[in-house]
Amino acid sequence: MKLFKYTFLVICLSLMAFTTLQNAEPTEKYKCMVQLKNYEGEGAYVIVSIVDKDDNYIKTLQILGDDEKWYPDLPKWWSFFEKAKQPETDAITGATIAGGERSIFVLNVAKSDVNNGNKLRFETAVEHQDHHLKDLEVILNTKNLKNKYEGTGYIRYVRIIPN
Amino acid sequence: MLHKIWRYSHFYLTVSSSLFLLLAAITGAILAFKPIQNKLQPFKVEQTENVVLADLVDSLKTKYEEVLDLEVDKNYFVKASVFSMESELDGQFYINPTNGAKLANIPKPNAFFEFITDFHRSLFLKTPGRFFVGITSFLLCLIAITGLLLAIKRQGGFILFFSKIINDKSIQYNHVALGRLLLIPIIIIAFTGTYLSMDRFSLLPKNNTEIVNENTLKNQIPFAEFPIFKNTTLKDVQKLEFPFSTDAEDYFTLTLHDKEVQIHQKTGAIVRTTVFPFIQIMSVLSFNLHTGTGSILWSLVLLISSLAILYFMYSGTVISIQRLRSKIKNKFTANQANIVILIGSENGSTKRLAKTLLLSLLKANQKVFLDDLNNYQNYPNIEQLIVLTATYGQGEPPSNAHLFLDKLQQTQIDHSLDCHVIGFGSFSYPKFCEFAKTIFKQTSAHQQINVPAEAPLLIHNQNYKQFKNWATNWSQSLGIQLDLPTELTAKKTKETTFTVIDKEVVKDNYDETFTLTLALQKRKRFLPGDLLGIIPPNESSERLYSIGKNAKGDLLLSIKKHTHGVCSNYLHQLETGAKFNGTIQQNKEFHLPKTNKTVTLIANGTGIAPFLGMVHQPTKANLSLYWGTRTHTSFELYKTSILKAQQKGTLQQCNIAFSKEVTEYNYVQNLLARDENTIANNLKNGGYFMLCGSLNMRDAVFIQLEKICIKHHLPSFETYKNNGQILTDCY
Repeated sequence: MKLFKYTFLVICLSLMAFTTLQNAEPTEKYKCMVQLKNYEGEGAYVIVSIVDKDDNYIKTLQILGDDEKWYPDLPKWWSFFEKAKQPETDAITGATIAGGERSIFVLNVAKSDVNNGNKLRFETAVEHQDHHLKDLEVILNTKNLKNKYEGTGYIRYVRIIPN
Repeated sequence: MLHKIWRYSHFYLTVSSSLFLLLAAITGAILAFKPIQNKLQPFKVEQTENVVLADLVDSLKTKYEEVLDLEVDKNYFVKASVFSMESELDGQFYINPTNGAKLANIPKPNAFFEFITDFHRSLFLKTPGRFFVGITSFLLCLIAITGLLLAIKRQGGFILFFSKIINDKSIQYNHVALGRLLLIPIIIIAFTGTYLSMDRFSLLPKNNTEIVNENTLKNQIPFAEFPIFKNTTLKDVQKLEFPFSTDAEDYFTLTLHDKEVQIHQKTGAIVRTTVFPFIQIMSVLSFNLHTGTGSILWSLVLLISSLAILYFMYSGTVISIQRLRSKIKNKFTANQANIVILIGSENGSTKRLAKTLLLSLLKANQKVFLDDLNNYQNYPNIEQLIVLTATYGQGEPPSNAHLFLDKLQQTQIDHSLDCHVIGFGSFSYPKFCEFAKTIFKQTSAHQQINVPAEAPLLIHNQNYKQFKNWATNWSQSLGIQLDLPTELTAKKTKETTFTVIDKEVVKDNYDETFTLTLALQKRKRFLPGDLLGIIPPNESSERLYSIGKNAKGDLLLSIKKHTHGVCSNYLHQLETGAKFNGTIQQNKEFHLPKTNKTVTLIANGTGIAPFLGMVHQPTKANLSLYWGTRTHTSFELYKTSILKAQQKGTLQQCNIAFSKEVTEYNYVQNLLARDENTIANNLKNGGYFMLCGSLNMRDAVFIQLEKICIKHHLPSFETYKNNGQILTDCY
């Protein structure tokens, strides 16, 4: 009984620790490269997010494209992102990449988000052209975070390696 | 005919693009400060351009756990993206290229400039906005080119385009002179803007040339030993991307200004070279030229050009309004008219005079018809033909008059008619009123046309008084009661209140003259030679007095009291401290010329007033004064002022003739005869003569000058009158 009490206390304390120190969540760094196809037109907006198994957005990991004016072109993500008020979005925002170009950036993935059915989603949009909601989507697990994937829209391929 | 096309295209192109052009020019002027502000940021390290790439790669590799890429911008600021365990040294920031150390975080883009840039590019209208701005940019190209063609035509040919533009002090001169100066920057702005828009809409073909090299190198060497890194300095580098992983298939990607090179990460061999096509290099150049990136000097040129575009829009509007204001509305047809007025006018200022004449003739119930010289035809009921014409460039007809001379020869005239030719021009042009002279010759030679005048009336700078005199004389000879307005400009000069601060009276046996020194209630600029208009109480018509200045710069009037003169008696009874109202009217025709030649001032009686001011004006000219008066006593009024001017050295010579004293010289013309050698030299060397005083004196002086011309074998005195060396203000 005593043992049960102690374990309960420990669990409670650790849960509290998680809720109050959410920012200090342990994360893993992954290096990620997005290579685009040779399409004509403006640079593509690329958004990398974590979605749960029901396709609900959980977190935005990377935004390529810094002009908010075009964000509504990605309506589902934009309605999430607008409300989410994620801190330090500047750190994960970069410039758009044009057709044929590539971009390399770092993904900070929380350990808790991996291996529990969540998916890593790459969605793309180009001004006055198409929007690909699931240009590329993979199950977020340790094995998948070290691989190369073909895209279906503007993305030719994505490569991810742990850092 | 051709330059009319250019003029219309210049006008309509500007009108159609004016709104966008205005917005683009304003925002462009603001944006010129962006590259200046960027350049002044402290991220530049001395000698950056000479740092060898191999050294930088080496220092980055040792300093940070992993390097993603490095970039060098136009200002030689070096950015690197790196990984590091310390969060301060993680991400992208500016580095010192000599040792790889972090210099500063990348500042957030300036929100204000971002906002203006967005507006400048697309007017907040996203893609359609960009399209409009692109089109505007292209139109600006065309506007600049049509403007160039117009200026060439105006200057009289391609070679003359580079010669001095004659400054006739008009807004047109500013438009042309400034346009010539800033033509090249504006064409560059317009062209690069167009190019960038075309690039944006993918209208330019793109084809890269790729060269794949055989990998000949087998030995694995460290990055710092790569020959390409050792041979490249940061001057040539735009970007270097490090290999994604240690996998041999991942290469270094080095972007130089003209090509992209992929380098094997183990051996340092060049695997693939992609040479940028000319079009892409042009895009980069266009961007730098259009935005001024990297050069403060060029940014300033861009700023001045943007402001100049705003000024062009303003001056162009003024010129267009001048033109449009003078559209013709006729009451009678060409067939009904007895009096036909034909005009040759480039910008419509001559047309305005013609319209004034037309309106007053209509008021006098005359059947009058006004048209362009080019529309000359057979007028069945014509009795009087009046030609009012300006001259374009080097004696060419204005744009609405170049067909006239041919038509005059070809058109059958039913019965004889009287013809009057009046030329308008400016003395600053060497071919003063040349076209009017040509018309005068041709009409005089015509059998059916009777030309009463011996020479055409030639008018300098649209002098309305001269025109009005002619019109009054002409209408009286026809028995028409003509009522022309006293002033051409509708705008009334504002009344000013004057206070008498000093009054001096001199009385001799013959008459009483007095001077009034006046203070202005409001500060107002005036120059000696301007006129002061006074309407005495219970009177309606205005009297004009020439304005002088005393040595202190106060306004000075010099007045002779006439026994029955309403105004001179009114002014005479004013005592010190009294106030009255009047208007100051500019009289540019009788200002002291800006010259370094001789100016001979000739006056009698109170006509000396404007000269009293001029002899104190700072000038490079060599002034001598000839003054005629009655007695020594009357000189007392002006003595101090003149002596002071002679002491100061602004007046070289003063000669006075006394008509009622026993002296050798009674009149100014006698003095001129005495100094005939000097006077002849002054005439010959382009010196000016200014006459102020009575009409009798003027005529006597003219006769004397004519005599001197003949005696000294100079061209006829008429020549000097016509080229503006003789200025008069006589009454």
